[in-house]
Amino acid sequence: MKVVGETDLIERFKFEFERVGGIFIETTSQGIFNNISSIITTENIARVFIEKFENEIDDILKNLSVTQIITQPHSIEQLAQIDASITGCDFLVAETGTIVFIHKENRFKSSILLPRIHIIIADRGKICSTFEELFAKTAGKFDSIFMVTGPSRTADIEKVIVPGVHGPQKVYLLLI
Amino acid sequence: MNYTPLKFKENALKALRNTNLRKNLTRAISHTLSKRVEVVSELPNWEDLRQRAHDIKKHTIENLSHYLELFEKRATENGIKVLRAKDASEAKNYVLQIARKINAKLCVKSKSMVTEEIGLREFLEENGIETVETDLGEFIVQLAGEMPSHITAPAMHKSRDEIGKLFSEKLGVEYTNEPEKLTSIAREFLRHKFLNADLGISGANFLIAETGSVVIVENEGNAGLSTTLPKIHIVITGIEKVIPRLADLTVFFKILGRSATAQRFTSYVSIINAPKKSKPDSPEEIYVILLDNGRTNLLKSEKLKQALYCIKCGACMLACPIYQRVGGHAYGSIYLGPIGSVLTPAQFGLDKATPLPFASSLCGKCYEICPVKIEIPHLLVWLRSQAVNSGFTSRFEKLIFKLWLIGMKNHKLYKFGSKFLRYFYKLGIKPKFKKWSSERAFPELAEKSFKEIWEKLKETEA
Repeated sequence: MKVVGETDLIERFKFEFERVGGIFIETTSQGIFNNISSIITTENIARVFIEKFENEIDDILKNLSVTQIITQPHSIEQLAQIDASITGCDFLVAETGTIVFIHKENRFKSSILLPRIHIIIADRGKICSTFEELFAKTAGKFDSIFMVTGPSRTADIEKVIVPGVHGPQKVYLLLI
Repeated sequence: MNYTPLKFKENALKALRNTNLRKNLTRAISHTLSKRVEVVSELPNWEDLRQRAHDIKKHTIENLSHYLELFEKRATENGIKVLRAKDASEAKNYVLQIARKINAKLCVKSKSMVTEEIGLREFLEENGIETVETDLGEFIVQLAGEMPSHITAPAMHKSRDEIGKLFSEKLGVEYTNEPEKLTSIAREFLRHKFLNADLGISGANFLIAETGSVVIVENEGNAGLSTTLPKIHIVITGIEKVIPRLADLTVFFKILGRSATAQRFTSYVSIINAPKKSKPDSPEEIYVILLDNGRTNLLKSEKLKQALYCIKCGACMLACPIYQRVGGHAYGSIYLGPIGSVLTPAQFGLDKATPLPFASSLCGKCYEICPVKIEIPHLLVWLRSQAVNSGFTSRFEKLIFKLWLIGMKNHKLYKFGSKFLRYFYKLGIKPKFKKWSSERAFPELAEKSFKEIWEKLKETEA
């Protein structure tokens, strides 16, 4: 059997993720600020929700120039007002280009689904080859898992694919 | 809703004469089928996957009570409340009790065939609870006051112009027929509902016994929102949806999207084990209602059991030459197309859906495309024989077939009959099958029978 290296897996992930309409950006921890700032300008983002990262990313993102930054949402209505959310994730599945979120305190599924834009920051160590590997790693020990493969989409009107029907129109992945 | 499976013939005739409908169907079906070929052919082990899916389902159905009990145990340990409903009214009453407890006013629903089956939306509305379908296709169908015409593409019988007119009439918006604009109108309208709903109802694609999980697969994000924003989430699903292990999902992940919407993988998958503990996300409580409603009738039949393997992908519908022409509404039932023609009579009584097993050319396409390898054509033939033996079919037809059998068994009689028919045919006296020939040309009788030609040939060769 061919041993598949991390770089191959990331290539595969990128291919699948872009094929479903995701926007893939490879970057460094120093580059994140500029990457996100330029997304904020092009997408005309005023209000953001930022998840807690527990590392230097928290400090970097504090300085983003937007109208409002929310880190501790107190209501669903508040989350419904945001234009974009910036979150981490737990795994990336290469075979389908899927981003996996395991729910825990300070991670909100509504923050993933309500805004128009979702920006995910992940490091290379999050990559899994297949769902077999993913399920082996999680071993059923979680409250819930949410998997995202590209933007929200519908084809209910004459099979025309329209992104962003209920969830985000655009999904950015920043890989460190 | 008005279910009319007994009127299949009339319904089908009406559908066949509706050129617009046929145009809409052809566009949607051919598009999905050609994309499906592309995404299925990428997997060299497609046949293995079908077999594995079949084996998992077979194993589970053979041990259904064990896996249901295990699911119930694990889910309860996780903090989910599991209820069992033997029929539609029991399930609906459970939902109403839960809704009354929190004085629910507004309920958001994601797509679920089981809720269609028990008529939940109508029931809740009758009881004063506004209930909104949030899947775009279902929302369109609800606005139009119709039934879904396909499992995964409920509004595929409608064109963009028809949907545009519907939106401007019912929602009071300016007419547009652009799918992007129509979608964003629906997004805005439904967003408001999501934020104000106190109750969220969904189905389930799978229940995982070993972990007590509920798995919901979707593309729009409406199921994710329906199960996250309201305080209470109720899952209603058939008892056949359970599978043993989380790892079994890996097989179904590969086949479900490809079969249902010709996608490699759907945009969203929620695997829910427990209610949410961190605010503002909900739900605080999750209920799972396991519905029987005639499913154990299938379980009792060695023959029909395998129809419970169905993962409700709708591929057999798209592949079926009958469905392709008449569309979903003609079946007049909740479950449509080939598998619907098995499930409807099996679950609710053959006498209530006699025409459906006959609404098939038995070409076998439904079996070929079925991702869990249900032998639909065999089941249809078996149901036909049950219908005949139970006296549900026309006596005249039975008599004709009896005569035909006598003729076929007796060579001399057959030969005489064929000569007799040809004699009158030459005199210009032709049988008139008016109903049969009103929509198509009646085949001409060959001048000589095959046997006569064959014997001639043998003579010349000798």
